Amino acid sequence: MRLTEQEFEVKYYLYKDTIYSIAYTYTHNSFDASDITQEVFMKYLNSTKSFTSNDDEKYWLIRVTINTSLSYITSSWKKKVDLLDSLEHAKDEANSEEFNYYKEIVSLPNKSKEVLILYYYEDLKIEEIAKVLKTNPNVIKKRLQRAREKLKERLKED
Amino acid sequence: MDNFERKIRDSKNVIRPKELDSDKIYSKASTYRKFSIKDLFTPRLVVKYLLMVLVIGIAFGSGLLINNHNSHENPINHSNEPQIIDDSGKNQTITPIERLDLNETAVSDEYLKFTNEEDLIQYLKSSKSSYSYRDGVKGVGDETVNVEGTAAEPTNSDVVESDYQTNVQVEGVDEADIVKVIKNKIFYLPTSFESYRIHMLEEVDDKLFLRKTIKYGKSEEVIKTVNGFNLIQASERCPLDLYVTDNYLIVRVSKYEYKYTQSTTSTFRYYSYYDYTHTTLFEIYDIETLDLVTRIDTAGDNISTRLVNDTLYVVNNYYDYMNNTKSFYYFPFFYIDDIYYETGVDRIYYPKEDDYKSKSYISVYKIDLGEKIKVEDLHILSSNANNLYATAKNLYLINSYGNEVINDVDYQYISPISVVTVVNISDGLTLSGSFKVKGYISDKYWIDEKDNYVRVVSNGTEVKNGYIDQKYFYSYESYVFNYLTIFEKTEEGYIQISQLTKGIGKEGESIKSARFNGDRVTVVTFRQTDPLYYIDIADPYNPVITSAFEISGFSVYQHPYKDNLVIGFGYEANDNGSITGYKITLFDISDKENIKAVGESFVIASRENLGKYTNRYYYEPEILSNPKALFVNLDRDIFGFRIQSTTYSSSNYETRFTSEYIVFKVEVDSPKPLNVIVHEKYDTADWKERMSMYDRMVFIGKNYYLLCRDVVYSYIYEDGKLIDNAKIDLYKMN
Repeated sequence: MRLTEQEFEVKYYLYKDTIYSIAYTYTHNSFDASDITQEVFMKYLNSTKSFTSNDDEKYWLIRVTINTSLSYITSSWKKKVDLLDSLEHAKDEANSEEFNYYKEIVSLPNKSKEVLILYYYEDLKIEEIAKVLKTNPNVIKKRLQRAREKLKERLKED
Repeated sequence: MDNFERKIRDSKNVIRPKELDSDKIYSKASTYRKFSIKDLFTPRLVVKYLLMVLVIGIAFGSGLLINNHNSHENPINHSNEPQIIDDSGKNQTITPIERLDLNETAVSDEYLKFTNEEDLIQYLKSSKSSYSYRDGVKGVGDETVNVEGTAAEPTNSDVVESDYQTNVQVEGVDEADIVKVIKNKIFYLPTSFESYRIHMLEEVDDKLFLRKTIKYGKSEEVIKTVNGFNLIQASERCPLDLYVTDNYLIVRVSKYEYKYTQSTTSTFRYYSYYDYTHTTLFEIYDIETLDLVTRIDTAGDNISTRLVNDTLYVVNNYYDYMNNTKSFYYFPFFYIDDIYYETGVDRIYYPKEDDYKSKSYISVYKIDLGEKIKVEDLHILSSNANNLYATAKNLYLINSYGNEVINDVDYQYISPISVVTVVNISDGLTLSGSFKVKGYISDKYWIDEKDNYVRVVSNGTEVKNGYIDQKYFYSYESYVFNYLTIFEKTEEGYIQISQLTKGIGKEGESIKSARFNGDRVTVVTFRQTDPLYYIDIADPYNPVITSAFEISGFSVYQHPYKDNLVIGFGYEANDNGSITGYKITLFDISDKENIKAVGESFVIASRENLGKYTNRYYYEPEILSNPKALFVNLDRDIFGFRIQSTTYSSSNYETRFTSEYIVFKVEVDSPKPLNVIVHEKYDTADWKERMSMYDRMVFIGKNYYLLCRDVVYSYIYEDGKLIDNAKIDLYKMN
């Protein structure tokens, strides 16, 4: 594997919250998000890819997390489950306004959701998001603008 | 940022962080096997493949195809001779030791041996690949080890000996930890990312002295300078855990080497190359002088170790990286003080069943720590082990993995499976057989040996798919199963004599913890509530669930306390099954027909109101993932453990790391039987210090010591209480 157990622990604490949070926004439950987090780290440990910088490594992990989460929720297993139903578990303990925002964000189409999560939840800059999603920063700017507009509209409807 | 954007950001608070165990992920990754490809192999295709293999086999047999394996030259001289180390280990005099002749030993007929090396090499080449990689192997590096004496010798010698022991699974079978106590000496390896050292402390006349410190350092060497950049080769070693015997301090060490280029005019660094050695190094020191006696480096990634009667047992997973063009390591190997030894073919077994054919070895090393240190080894070509259960007689090498596919006429059943290989250690190292059980054996506490019986709990999810008109389809049918299975060791091997398949857990609930104790096993399952089951296993042919007690949350570690109590350490949960905190509950299991909780549970909230922009993330008692972190003093009804946590404030972008140590007094007759008698708390914003706060509490006589990196807090036990005594700064001791 690419790292010793000790080195992996350092990387693990560095990235676990990011990976878990992103996975959670797709699965809406801690068990599946934990599974995905585990799977992403296993892919990371068994990957032979070399990274030129810490940022490069982080972008790779975020990209893998998004892809793993998407393939997880679109798998034939999960199609049968209404994922938003499981959000109700989180509702009990959350601030109601925070919950409404969260619910609308994660219900947005994936392209809008991705940029909002990376920009607001993970504090990535527009250039960084462009690197993660392998696209032009201008595209991300537009997506972010549209995502904010869509979110405002949905919140008004509520 | 406007109000709308701030609200978007704050909505992240809905996500409940959950702590995973990095060790378990690492362990799983090292034994990762991709099984999904099996889905592509329908029975019809498999028959075709078999026919193809048969045709190719006939072609080989008749000489139609050229067998070129003889062209390979192994550059390593095989040393099949046994090894021994001289008393000092420093002159590296090697003389033969007596080895067990395995040909004359009763071995289960599930395993076979190779008759020559070429057969082994062909076997490895034809086996399916493993997903554990080794990048290269190097000998011990040149890193410095400094031993410092920092304290004056005491004049008196009134010595009290300690009864402290690491919280181990099986009495008499020691497990490595960061603290070990022998007589009046404490050996302490602080958990730290900043620097690595081992302190040797000694209590004399009620006073604690720092006798010596072993320091582990980095070594760096400039190889060449090109265009204003230095190419630097560096290596580093990191002590992981310890054992002590009457004669030796044994340290498990991880090590790695790397190269980087650094500008000669700035601090810019570019790491160009890493070389992880994938061997497991043991450094053995004289317990009095802390002089290094010998280094034993064993091939493979370490799964676990045990110490039984001054003999260290090491279990590694070793994978031969066949594509390494520089050299071929077909055989497992080890170094003793930089001298290379390769395992002989007579020490290697492979399973008779082709289904378990693998390129990966489970390697077992026996290091006899007597006056003369001896090494003996045994290797099984049988995938990887991912857990170890050990008694004074046997090592149980557990390999639990994803999906075993069983094809019925109309349906295909897919479920996890565990294969347990048993190595007898009562007289040398003997492979004594194996058994298979449906489901994961997720924890070493899920397996237990008593007399000739092995009792195992396992769980998993079985999926049923099928065929319609010879086309594969997903039926989406699945169910969670929890089993208790009992095997009997007979002359024919391990025979399953009973299995409890129903009654453990309600529908959809899975096992969270189990603890065997003599004729009983207590099992906790969970989905929304925690039923604790008492299973009477006095009659191994007829295990019976005698009672169940339901309580919110669930325990992930059960600690037997005195004869009839169990302390459950785990999580508190709400009615939806969501985790809300951590909980410790005392259970009374004296009446097997009516088990119950004793008084109130002790609950620690995982989420406090820390302010609008402050979130607490990682917050967990270490004991939930590492029972060795539990300190227990049974005579005085005291136990304790540490809790680490991380809080992040988005208002000032500050992350703080907090360490707490809590000591409880058990008072069974009180309505609140778990009372906090010590609660220490310390926090810092320094990331490097996050792992180096409270580590362990130990005791010598009436003195209790809370070890905290380079500081020791001492307490005196009086009238059922721990009274603060002193704060001792190790580096200011004289």
